[in-house]
Amino acid sequence: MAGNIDIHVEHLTRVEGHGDIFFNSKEGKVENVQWHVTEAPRFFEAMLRGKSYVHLRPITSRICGICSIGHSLASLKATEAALGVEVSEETVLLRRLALHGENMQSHVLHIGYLVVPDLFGVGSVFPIVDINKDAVVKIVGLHRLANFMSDLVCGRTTHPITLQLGGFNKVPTVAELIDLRSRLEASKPVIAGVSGLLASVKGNLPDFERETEYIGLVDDRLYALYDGVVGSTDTGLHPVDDYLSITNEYVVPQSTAKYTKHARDAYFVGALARFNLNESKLGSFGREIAGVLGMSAPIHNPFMNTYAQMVEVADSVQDSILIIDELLHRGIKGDMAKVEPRAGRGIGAVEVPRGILFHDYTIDGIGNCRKANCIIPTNQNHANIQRDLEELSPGLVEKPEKDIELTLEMLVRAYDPCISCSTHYTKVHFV
Amino acid sequence: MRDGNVSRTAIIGIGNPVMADDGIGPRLVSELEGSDLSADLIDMGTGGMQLVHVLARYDSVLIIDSADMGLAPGEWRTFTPEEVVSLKETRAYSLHDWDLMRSIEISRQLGEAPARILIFAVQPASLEMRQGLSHELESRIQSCLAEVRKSVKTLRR
Repeated sequence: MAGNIDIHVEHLTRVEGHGDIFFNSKEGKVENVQWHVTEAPRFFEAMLRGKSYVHLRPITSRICGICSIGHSLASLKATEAALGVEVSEETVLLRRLALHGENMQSHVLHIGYLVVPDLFGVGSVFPIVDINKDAVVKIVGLHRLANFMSDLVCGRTTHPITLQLGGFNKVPTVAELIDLRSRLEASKPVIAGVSGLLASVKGNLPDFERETEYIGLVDDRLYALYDGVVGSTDTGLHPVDDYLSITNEYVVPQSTAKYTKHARDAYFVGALARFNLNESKLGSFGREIAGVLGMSAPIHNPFMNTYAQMVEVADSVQDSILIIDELLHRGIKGDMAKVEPRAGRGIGAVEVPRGILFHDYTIDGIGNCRKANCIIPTNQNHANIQRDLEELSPGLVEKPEKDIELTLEMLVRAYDPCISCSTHYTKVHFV
Repeated sequence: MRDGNVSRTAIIGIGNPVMADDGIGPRLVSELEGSDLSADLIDMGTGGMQLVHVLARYDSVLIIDSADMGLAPGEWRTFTPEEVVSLKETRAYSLHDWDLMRSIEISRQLGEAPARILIFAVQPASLEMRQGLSHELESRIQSCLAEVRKSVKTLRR
């Protein structure tokens, strides 16, 4: 029976950072549904002003404890673009390997620890040990492999040490790469097992579709993560340097994080956007797992973002094996490009676990940062989360209050929001 | 983090050094650098699921953490996981809301926990957002270190 319902989810759990959901309906009609971001801004861009170009990466790595590799890479690409530095092919290969490690780390964590409990109808990962211990063993094993890979390539699991301007200050040995390769190969059946489990509970995902604009990096050859041009399912390809005309940031009253819009009133970034833009570039293992999960682009159900992440875990494993083979074939030299200060502006775009990330730096003649802009994926998803909530809610009003609450929470969780990173300096003018 | 394949004993400090006395774990671990304890010294920061991966690599561990045990600030206890019940209310799992005792529990459920686990816990005086320990804890660092050394020997018995 449709009554009056008021829901306030304060500090939604199983997401990074603090966000609230408000919902109220009267006599079966939704009056209001809102996604609120309540964290304080963190002023990272202001911190970068006046800092030497050598400090930009270590500082911006600290924006996020999960995407520290992605922030490091976007920062290095922006700085190198500003200083006119060209890194070697070997450096690009190793950076791609680092990014795969982070993507796997973050996706496995989100799928296994944050979303699977909803699909099993429990509150956290702990009760699942009793229901399906094998699944938890597999998930923990994959997470451990991704950590191992980040440790090896980046020097530690979080906040990389080896990723430097111009190259790597320490590269893995041949023996270490061979060891990593065999571990990655051994993970394939584990990934197939976890995917089978996800496929078996796919029916528990809400049946909801809303087509939107999907934005992410696109490359001629690869399922783009490290490099590419900006692709939109609505408007085609755009140079990375035009990113401001893509993101169009604006402020809304209910959020300390900025919103973005492009061709429509909102757009989607992240694994599902990448899948919709780049499905044809998946390797054979990624395609196999997409088949297990019954996925074929375009997919307009935002809850499927988690499933797209699983496809990406598989693709990252296979592409990492290919990268290792190429490195072993070429031999590892550990070459570093020369880096010297000069005035310039550079923009770096990288696909990180939650979507496309932009860093934009202006550097002066002595190498100090004069201006910085970082646009984080979760920022770009807030408007889309809000629009999804608005469209999802009317179909829920007949349900019991706790089911409405759970479905709204699951929707936000599907985006894997990293709210702490997305709270962003807001400048307002009162009229 | 410093890992080694020779030693299968670790001393793990847990806590956030910018939350005053919550940082007692990492602080004591850093004070032990260069000591002759022949155990790996690990600053785990705020721990979380990473702790489960680290526990899997050791036979015996001493975990140092701050804990509300209803004692006077600066007092400490050394205990096994069986000797306590966690009262911490984690609303559900999130990476910013984690309970040490649950990490140990899941490690045991997965059958990969160290055979011997000891926890050395210190009652905090302050959990404010600031760097450095309170006076109460700072003045007891040396006695804490002596106790930690004693506990590591107990672990090896």
